[in-house]
Amino acid sequence: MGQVTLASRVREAFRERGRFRRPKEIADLLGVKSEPVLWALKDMKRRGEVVSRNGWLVYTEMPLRMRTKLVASRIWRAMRLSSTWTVQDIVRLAEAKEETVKRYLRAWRKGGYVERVALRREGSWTVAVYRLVDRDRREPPSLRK
Amino acid sequence: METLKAVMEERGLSIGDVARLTGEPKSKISGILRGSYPGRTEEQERIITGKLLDALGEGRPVEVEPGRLKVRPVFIQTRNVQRFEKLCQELMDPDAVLGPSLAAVIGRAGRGKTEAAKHHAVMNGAIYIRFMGMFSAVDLLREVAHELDGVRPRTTRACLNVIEKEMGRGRRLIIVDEADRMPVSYIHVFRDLNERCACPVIFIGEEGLKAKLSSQRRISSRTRAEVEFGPVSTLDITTYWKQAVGIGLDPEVVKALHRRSGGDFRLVVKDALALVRILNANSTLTVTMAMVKGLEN
Repeated sequence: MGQVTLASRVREAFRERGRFRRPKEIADLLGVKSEPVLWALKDMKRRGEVVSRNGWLVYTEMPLRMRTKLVASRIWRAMRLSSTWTVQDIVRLAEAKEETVKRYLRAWRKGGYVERVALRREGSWTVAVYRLVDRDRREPPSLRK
Repeated sequence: METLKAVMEERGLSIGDVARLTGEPKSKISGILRGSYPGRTEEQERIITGKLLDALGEGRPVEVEPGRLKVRPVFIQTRNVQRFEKLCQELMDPDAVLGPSLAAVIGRAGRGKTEAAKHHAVMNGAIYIRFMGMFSAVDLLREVAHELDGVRPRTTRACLNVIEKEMGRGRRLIIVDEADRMPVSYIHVFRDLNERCACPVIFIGEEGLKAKLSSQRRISSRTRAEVEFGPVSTLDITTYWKQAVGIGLDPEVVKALHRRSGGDFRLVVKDALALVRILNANSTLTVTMAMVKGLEN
């Protein structure tokens, strides 16, 4: 049995009611303060789980695998847009977590889709600069490959 | 919980700034401040204050430790970025098909135009094309076709067929960066594409783009809006430091950093990297004027 988080309760509220006008309505339904619900919704929107449609907050019912694909697509698109980039550039453009970007980067580097081209000084840190081997590829490679 | 008025006064924010940062209407904010808002004022004030602190990067305290500060990669919703996003939304609105759907984003280098465009393309699936001097008109069409369908047909006709077919499935916004370097005839190529496939197009470039577009009546009459990317504001710098480094700055320091940057966001980031190095070396969390002055040497 998984842990009952606020996000899972918000998901449950969406399943029950379908859609909401304001986060406050969700908070009232769950009997919690609005602020944590706002935070949970912000994260869910970032993940593509919840979208604003015609003034309503709607749960997309997108399965986890699809959402994961969505993040991978964003990361891949961000990598394609620049000739060379650092992990930080991709985190900023794709609004993804640094660990997630690093995870994909490791896998894609191993698969030969990404290569390191240089090391760059940024303040007191040295950061690696990468590039995509084939920028024409539009879809992200599978992690399992 | 701090009151909205206290937060605004402390940070020198106007009602317009709060509206911009929270996405709430100005009338609602002024109503809450005056006490004449006809709803549950306290509840609304709490929500707006929360949103405001969130936008300023103060909502969820970032764990900062002297000597271990880091400039984190964050995308800041500056005033320019918000105007750009609004323009994109407007162009992608189904009603926009009826009116003109060409637009221009103009501003000096270093104002964040390309970053805003790339961010929008990544997050919303818009087509981002960066013009290169060696491109022919067909090359540009090929790039659009490739982004839509993964193919680069040889002829103009074949490119148009692909673009038309794919745009028919769902309109996509085309963003053309460095458009100020494009010959006028290439801008007309995108105008034709816009007419034929009803796809909105945003041209991005430096000041020269404005003259180029206005010299062509056929293009200027079809231009829905021109967004000027102005210099970064002191509020943008405060927000950046809060969100990227996790610490607040003294207003005097912000002003000094603003002067140094000359409105260029890249210089704001460069200064932040240098100052964080100094802060870590001194194991402190306070940026002083002496540190900022030290950057000049």
